[in-house]
Amino acid sequence: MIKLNSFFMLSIILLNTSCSFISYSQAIPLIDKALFGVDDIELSQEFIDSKKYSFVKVKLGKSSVSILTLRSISEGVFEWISASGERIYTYNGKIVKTEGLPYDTHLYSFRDVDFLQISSDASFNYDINLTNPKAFVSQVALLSVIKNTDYNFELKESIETIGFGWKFTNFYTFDKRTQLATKTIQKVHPNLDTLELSFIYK
Amino acid sequence: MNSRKLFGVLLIHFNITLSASLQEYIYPNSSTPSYSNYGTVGLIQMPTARLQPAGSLAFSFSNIDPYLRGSIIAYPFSWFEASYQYTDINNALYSDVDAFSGDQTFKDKSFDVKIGLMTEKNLLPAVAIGIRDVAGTGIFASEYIVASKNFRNIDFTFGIGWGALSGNQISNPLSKISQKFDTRTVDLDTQGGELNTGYFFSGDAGYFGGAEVAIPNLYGIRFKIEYDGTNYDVEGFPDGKESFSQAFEPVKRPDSKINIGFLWPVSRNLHLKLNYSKGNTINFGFSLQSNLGIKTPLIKKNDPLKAVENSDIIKKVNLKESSYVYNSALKYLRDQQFFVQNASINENNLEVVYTQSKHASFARATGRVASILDDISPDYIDEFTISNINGGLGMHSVTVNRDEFSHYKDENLPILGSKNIKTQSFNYNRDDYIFKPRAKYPASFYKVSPSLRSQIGGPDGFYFGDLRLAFHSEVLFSSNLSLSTSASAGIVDNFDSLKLKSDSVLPHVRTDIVQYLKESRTFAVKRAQLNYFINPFNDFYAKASLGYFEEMFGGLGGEILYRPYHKNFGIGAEIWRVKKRDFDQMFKFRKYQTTTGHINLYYKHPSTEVIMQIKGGRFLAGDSGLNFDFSRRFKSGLRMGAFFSVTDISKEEFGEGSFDKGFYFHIPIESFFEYFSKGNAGFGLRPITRDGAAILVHGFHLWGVTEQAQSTNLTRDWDDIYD
Repeated sequence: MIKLNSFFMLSIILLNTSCSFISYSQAIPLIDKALFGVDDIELSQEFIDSKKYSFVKVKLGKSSVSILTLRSISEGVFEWISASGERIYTYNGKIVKTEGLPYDTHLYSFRDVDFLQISSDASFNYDINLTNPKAFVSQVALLSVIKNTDYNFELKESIETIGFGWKFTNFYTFDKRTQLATKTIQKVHPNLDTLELSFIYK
Repeated sequence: MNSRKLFGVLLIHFNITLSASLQEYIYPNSSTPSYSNYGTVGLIQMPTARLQPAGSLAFSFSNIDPYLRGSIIAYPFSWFEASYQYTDINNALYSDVDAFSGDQTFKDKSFDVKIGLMTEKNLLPAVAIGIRDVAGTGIFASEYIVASKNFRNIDFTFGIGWGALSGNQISNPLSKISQKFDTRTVDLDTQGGELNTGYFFSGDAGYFGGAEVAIPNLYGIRFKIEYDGTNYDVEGFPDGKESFSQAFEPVKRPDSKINIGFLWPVSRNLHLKLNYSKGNTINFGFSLQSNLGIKTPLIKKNDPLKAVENSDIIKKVNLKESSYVYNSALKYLRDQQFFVQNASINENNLEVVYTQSKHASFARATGRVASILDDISPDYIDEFTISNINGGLGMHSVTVNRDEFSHYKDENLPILGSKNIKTQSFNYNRDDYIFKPRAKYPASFYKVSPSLRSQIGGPDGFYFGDLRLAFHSEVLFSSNLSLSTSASAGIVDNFDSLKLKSDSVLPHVRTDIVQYLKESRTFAVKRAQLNYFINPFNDFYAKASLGYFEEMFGGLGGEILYRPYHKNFGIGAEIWRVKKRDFDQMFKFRKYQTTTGHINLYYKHPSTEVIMQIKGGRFLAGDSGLNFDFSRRFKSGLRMGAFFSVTDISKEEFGEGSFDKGFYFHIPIESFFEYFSKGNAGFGLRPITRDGAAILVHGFHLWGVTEQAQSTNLTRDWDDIYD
């Protein structure tokens, strides 16, 4: 949205300006990004083989696609880091903390929930700390199983925020053999687009 | 205070802070005030006492029958709102002469101001005073005093208005002070554009009020309701032909004084609105605003300095010979777009003279040069002297203690890192240095960019535009001799219907604009200017130029400037012998020639960065007088300015508009991108093009070229030193 706003603002300025000095090389990537989004990264076998460590592809709405490399695992929390220093921490595929994003989040009490043990609808409470602006709120999550096969386990998480009207649904897919998340679609902050994560473990 | 009380106070403070933040999630994008149909911050039709932060720029569009209005709104200070608008009045014709303006409707230009008198306190409201349609035709003229107070999610407003805001009449409270406020007499004997303060706050007064309600958990949508104070019997051309000979129908009168509307803040910057006004009119609009004055207004930068690889090895190698240090400085600084002109090592001091054109912040440029030198210099170097030149002119010299710079860099503490940095004036002499790399001359730089020439608000049509492909080049014959060229080729335009000819009684130095636009549609050379710069003494600069300076004039002349490094003023002079260029903007001249020149005074207020420029002298049309220019620069590099001129010609000789005036913005291009860049997008507007008080536009004005030759222009950005 920030880039879209700046695109609109730039357009207004360009249309009004009598002497603009913007080269095509500067303007075209911005216009392209604002209108069509960024190119996706294809997780081909060649691409996967080229990576030495486990990684996660993170797609943020239409505006960015990044690769974050697994840095550490501590008590079930996976720490993933990007080349420019942004960090995402996941627990059972659920993002429990972010650092370096325009809007960061920190989830507490996430260890009360073990996604892989859910067999029927269950509800849990989270406490969440949001930044930009700062707010500490509670959430009620309703978990339900969408698909449970020999290999895959899919979960839906409907979340309602207490205190303001932020409702959303997250989706998680697990590989039952490895007991690890393979793909998730989730919201972590009301001002941030949906994050789509594809995990590759090595 | 015991610990329990302290804990209690902290808990309350923490709760209030969190609660205030939570509001921003319940009412997203609610912190940005919204715009009224008049283009300034307000409710639906009524103004409020709210203002945007200093450095904000906005564009607002509204459509309320019979008016279609586009406004540009600027906030040079947090207490001052200025807006300029075009209103398309759809119940009147531009003129009653069909051959002159066809069926084009009436276009009104107006200028509004609002001044914040008091910011909101716990129990007291924000208060502002404003004037609509200052120095215009006066058909929307009104003045008001307004107060706004926020209570939870509701922002209440109440005000008293005069003129077109006197719809709900009360006796004028100012009449108790003086009888001159009893009656409102608007002077119609004018060429327009004059500031006539005589009728302000006089005649009938009226009240108005309303509220803006942020609806919880509904994307920040706001509901607006107001008791309309507009006097529809006064505003515009209310009675059609009876009000104005060119009007063809009356304005629809209100069925209700209650206006309601919804505003959807799509983001903090973009607002859409839909209102039901006067009990019979649906209207809509949008506004786009941003605080472009802050350091990174739109997009966070991702253009870090790249550390020199294998720094330890380079330092060891460079220990062997000074020439290794010079050559590594040349290479590693060039890799980051800093160009070493000279260097010397004197005992433990490494001095480097460089030039750059990437960073608008000279502090950031200095910091990056110091970082690279720190990465490559052998350990015995404990001080860097970093000197900057521009166009061969010495700008500034900065002395940096290496250990201190490096220590605070690691901790990213720019204020401490810059505390002991010494800066001084710099008089450049190439022969003073040991290392003198030979540059290959002539060196050339060029870029191709789109350009747009616009002509707005004329009788032939509201907007005429010419989209072009422009070629800009600079050829350096030596460090202080250059040829700057700007040429362009037309891609598409709608100039066919442009036909307005000059009616000026003065020499046509600007009013032949239509011929210049039309005859240069295919190809034009806007500028081909040869410049020679010299810096004979400290703080003294001179420039001689010849060629085609601008679209309409070419010739020769020069400029001198005295700009003491540690002071906030400058004084200069310029004189030019110029000839009018042919309309096709190629290489021929017309008959008119003249000598023009000015004494130029500059003063910059150090804390507000308000710059006042006064030019006194002879203008292009032979008239003499003064040109005043006030501008403010913001942290991002955004500059907002306005100007006016007073010369020895009468307002009748000047023609429509009465005297020369206008405003401009320079918006840094880097605000829109992730990387640093020095360019600006310039936007300037004169309400009307006339010949009086016309100033020659020549490239590389010395005040701009020597911007980094004033200490405060460097020190203001010390917080960028580790960027």
